[in-house]
Amino acid sequence: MQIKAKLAEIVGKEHVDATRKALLPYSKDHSLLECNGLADVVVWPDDADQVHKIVQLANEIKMPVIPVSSEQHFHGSTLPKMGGIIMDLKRMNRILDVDVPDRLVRIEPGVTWGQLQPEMNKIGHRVVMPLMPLASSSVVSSLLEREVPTNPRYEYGEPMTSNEVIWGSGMRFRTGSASVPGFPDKADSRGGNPEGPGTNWYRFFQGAEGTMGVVTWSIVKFEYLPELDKTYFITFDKIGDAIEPLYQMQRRMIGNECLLINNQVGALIFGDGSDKTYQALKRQLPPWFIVLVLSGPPRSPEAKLAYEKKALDEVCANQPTVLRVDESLPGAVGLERKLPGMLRNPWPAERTYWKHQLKGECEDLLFIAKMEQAAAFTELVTETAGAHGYDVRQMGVYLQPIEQGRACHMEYQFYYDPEDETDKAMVKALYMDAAAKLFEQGAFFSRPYSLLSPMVFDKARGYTNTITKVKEVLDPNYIMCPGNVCF
Amino acid sequence: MPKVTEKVSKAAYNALQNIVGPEWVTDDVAITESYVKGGEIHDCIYQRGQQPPGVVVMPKDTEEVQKIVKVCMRYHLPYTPIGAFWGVHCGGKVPFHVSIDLSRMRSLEWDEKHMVAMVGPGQIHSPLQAEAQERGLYTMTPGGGSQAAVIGNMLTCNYSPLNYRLGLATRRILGVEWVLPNGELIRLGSLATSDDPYWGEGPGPDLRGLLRGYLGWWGKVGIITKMAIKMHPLFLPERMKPVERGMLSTLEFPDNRIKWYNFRMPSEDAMRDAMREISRCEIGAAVMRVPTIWRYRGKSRSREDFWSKWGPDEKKIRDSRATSSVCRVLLIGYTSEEQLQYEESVLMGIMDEVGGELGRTKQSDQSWIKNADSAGMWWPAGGYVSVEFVVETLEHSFARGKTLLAEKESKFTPPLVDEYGEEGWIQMTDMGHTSYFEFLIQWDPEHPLGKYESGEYKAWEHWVASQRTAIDHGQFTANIGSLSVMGLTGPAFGPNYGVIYDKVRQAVDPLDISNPPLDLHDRVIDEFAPKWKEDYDFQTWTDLMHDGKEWWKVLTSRGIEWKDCLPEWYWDRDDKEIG
Ligand SMILES: Cc1cc2nc3c(=O)[nH]c(=O)nc-3n(C[C@H](O)[C@H](O)[C@H](O)COP(=O)(O)OP(=O)(O)OC[C@H]3O[C@@H](n4cnc5c(N)ncnc54)[C@H](O)[C@@H]3O)c2cc1C
Ligand SMILES: Cc1cc2nc3c(=O)[nH]c(=O)nc-3n(C[C@H](O)[C@H](O)[C@H](O)COP(=O)(O)OP(=O)(O)OC[C@H]3O[C@@H](n4cnc5c(N)ncnc54)[C@H](O)[C@@H]3O)c2cc1C
Repeated sequence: MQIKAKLAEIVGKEHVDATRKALLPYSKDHSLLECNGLADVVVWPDDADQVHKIVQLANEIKMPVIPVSSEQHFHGSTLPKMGGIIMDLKRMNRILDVDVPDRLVRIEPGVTWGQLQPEMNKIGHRVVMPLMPLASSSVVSSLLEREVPTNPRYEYGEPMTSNEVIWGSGMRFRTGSASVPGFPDKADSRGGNPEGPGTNWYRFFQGAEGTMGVVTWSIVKFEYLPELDKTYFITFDKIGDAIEPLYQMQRRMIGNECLLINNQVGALIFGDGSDKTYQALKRQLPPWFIVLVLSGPPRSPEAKLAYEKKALDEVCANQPTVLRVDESLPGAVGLERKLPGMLRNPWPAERTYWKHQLKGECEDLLFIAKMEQAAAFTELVTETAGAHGYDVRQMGVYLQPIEQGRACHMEYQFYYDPEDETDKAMVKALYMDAAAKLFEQGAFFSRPYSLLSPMVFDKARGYTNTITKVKEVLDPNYIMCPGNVCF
Repeated sequence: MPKVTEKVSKAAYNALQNIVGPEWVTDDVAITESYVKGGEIHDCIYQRGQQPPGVVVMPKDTEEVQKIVKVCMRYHLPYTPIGAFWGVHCGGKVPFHVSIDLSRMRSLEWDEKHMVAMVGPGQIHSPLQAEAQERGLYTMTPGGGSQAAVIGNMLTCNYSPLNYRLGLATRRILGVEWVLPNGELIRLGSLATSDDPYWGEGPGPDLRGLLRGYLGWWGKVGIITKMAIKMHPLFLPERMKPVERGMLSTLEFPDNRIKWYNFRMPSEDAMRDAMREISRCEIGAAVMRVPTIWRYRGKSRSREDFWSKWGPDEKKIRDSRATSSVCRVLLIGYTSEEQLQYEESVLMGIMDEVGGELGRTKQSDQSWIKNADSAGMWWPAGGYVSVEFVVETLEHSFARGKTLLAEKESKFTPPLVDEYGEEGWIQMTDMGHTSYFEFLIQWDPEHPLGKYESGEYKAWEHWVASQRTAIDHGQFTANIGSLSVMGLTGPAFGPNYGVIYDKVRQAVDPLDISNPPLDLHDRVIDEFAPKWKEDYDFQTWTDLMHDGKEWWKVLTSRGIEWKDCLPEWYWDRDDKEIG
């Protein structure tokens, strides 16, 4: 029997397709990685049983499986590098349980930010999230990718708890405290503890780009939706000037959402999509600014805002590089009131994604660093980009402090026209060049996507050997996403 | 089982001596005998079956550790890594093993700005906490004592009331340097591609997953030679002052910045509501329910003192059971004095609504900085073990407490100490998303009962029963992994985690020489089997693992598909041996 027919037996024939028309979209994404081939077939399972059977089948016939949860992709991880079965999980978009007392929600991988956040808001809560993702992005993928949230307030970090996974071997497994017999209906456990059983399995499929197994649900923490917010913009001439104030604010635990961006990123996210406002914003916005949201919890919100504001004033008064602490931004009137909501929701589905407004495409160079490295790294990237002929006035820079400033997520955005091969080749060359230089200077590529993975895994040889041993237990036939990570 | 060399040969001994020098290796029985029991001095059930090593060796650095591991591989010598040996699992369970005592490796390096401390495996918590305070930082010292090694503790437990804000230990581990049992040296997190340990994830899939689970591997996956851990901001304008209180000393709080509150609660529901609302509002540094017996233990000066008060107060405690537990909250003004004032007003508002009544308490460190309580507090009755210490949700904590208490009261009391109906310690973790629950059992080792009725034997039984009740009720438990009866938990959780757990271990330790065996050994259990036969329907440890099918009947009776819980090897392995 043909693979398509076998899959149809599992999911029904309307949920499997092997036509070129169906497969083509899965061979393209927003990354610079070229993918010439097509997958063999695409299948849309509806539940974990079907996922389980598909993975077992793939093991029998030794065919690659590429799980796909979001609609659009940025890093080349879902391109079918060696053909195989595209397993598109978008039908699995159920919010399975909402546990209000413990502030935990169990979701399938097809649940998107655009779907989850409004549901959470209805009950006065929200899931902390990364900076304005696409509304159609999967929440589970975002957590698996360890995307960094804009809210560095929580010491305990990491919103994901237990999961269900179908390992590449075909074994169906629940991690953390959801591993108890009878979960979820016949058990006292609610799946709140991510750890165990035995060892921390979830660590192996996080950051794995689908190479270990297919996650069929995850449990995620949610927090209260603030009663009251006040946004402050703290402006600077140079990125280096913002760093010490950021360390101080973070160390004193002031505020909730906190990020540092340049006017390029600001002009894209604060505009209305028109060239006119984009240009106006670029002219009027300060070159660099910290966006800081002070938030009031369910009880006595004003009192909380008051002590945090007082501490913010103390920090800023002692920092000579702070130009101004403002309640609004020039050129973006009223933004201060909308911003907390914008930071707690995905980019509106009806609008062109902010990163794509300028030229149609954007390549993100992202890594983990220390805030004190930001100025030197920015100089290095700017120089490299300029040397490759990129207009550095159009380079987006975003610094996201993590956990009270112990580290940060750095992101450099290069916009290009996907139809213009020269433009594209230039961005690719500068991306590779800048990444290599940053790596040499100590930037940590904790999720080295396709183009960068050889550089990173070759250096981390012992690490690579050992993670490969784990892979051989969990996916002995190497069917999961071959070509990703170091496998 | 590992292929154990009968004795440490002269050649192996010489090889070890060449690595560390004659001063740092010995097979003198006077010394090897002291490497059996560790800090948990007497009457702890986990110690059974532990035996003296053939050799003790004390490396000074990573390079020596790596060489020692390679010698052990060459001669098939099982070895046991040892931190401060305050815990009990450093005593090897196979004869003539090598005890690798890491206490010379006491480095402590700071990256103050990024709130990172990197320690060697011999470094203990006490200086770490003291030096952190000087830098406007703090960390989580285990409730059981700051004399424990930082790495040993981070790899195995690291629980205290501060888990409320700081979360789970595994999420506080950053860069790691690790000598695997196969002799390979690997580095995790940012250390994998640089010399700076400030970040823990990746690259790519995160190998920290192999360091531990809810608990650790207890030395079964090689030796961590360096670990960077997260520190957290705690800026205090003045230092905490040490003060003398009779025989005890403690640290006095600057109570404009750090303050304890004790509330008497009208009911269990009020306790629940208060703990939840405090967490939802994100105030506090610690929130817990303290059972009455813990307060008696905390205050007793001796065993006699404990018994002279606990026994006579029985009626009083039983009568006030529902209201005797204290809700105890620690507030800290991290940002400023005003933060503490703000949080205090929120706390009082919550307590007003649920009817919590403020009592007195001392404004000094109890159990997270200095931990002078560690030794005395645990043994007022003479014998003790924690049969459960698990993180799940708050409702789970209450449920687990009731299950374990019911089991204990109906089958094991006496000789175990009667708790007069109290269900154990509960505290919030991860800002209230989860909760930590601990259930201690105690006994008087001099209780005049026969062998199988004595406290220690009953403690063993209760410990196995705790695993069974977890399976029965779908409750999470600390007794998984190498601290469990693998035949019970291995198939039930995951399901079948036992299979892949053992496989990943074998992948990095093909010779099975890093602190074997994987779980508690049959010779220990066999001793109890005759008595347990009626209760548990198995005769020996081997029966339990391979033929004792009784446990899944429980699952079937609850409507759970038993085949989902059984590994293939459970039925068709013919070598009848795990590992
Ligand atoms: C009475 C009592 C109360 C306790 N209360 C608490 C508590 O409240 N909270 C808490 O968190 N813990 C508690 N514990 C557990 C305990 O204090 C520590 O978790 C444990 O002992 C770790 O510190 P250690 O120095 O004793 O490590 P060790 O006992 O030396 O080692 C612990 C285990 O880890 C292994 N190991 C040690 N170092 C390494 C290394 N470098 N690489 C690989 N493996 C290694 C050892 O082989 C051993 O199996 C308690 C223990 C006791 C006895
Ligand atoms: C093994 C063990 C581990 C422990 N670990 C920790 C730990 O990690 N962290 C920690 O903080 N503590 C821990 N404790 C408990 C700790 O040592 C204290 O005994 C406990 O917190 C009570 O503190 P206290 O001395 O203020 O209270 P108590 O001395 O019991 O009471 C102080 C005052 O509170 C009032 N009071 C008494 N009962 C009530 C009531 N029902 N409601 C309201 N008010 C009342 C009275 O006015 C009383 O005088 C542990 C205890 C044990 C036995």
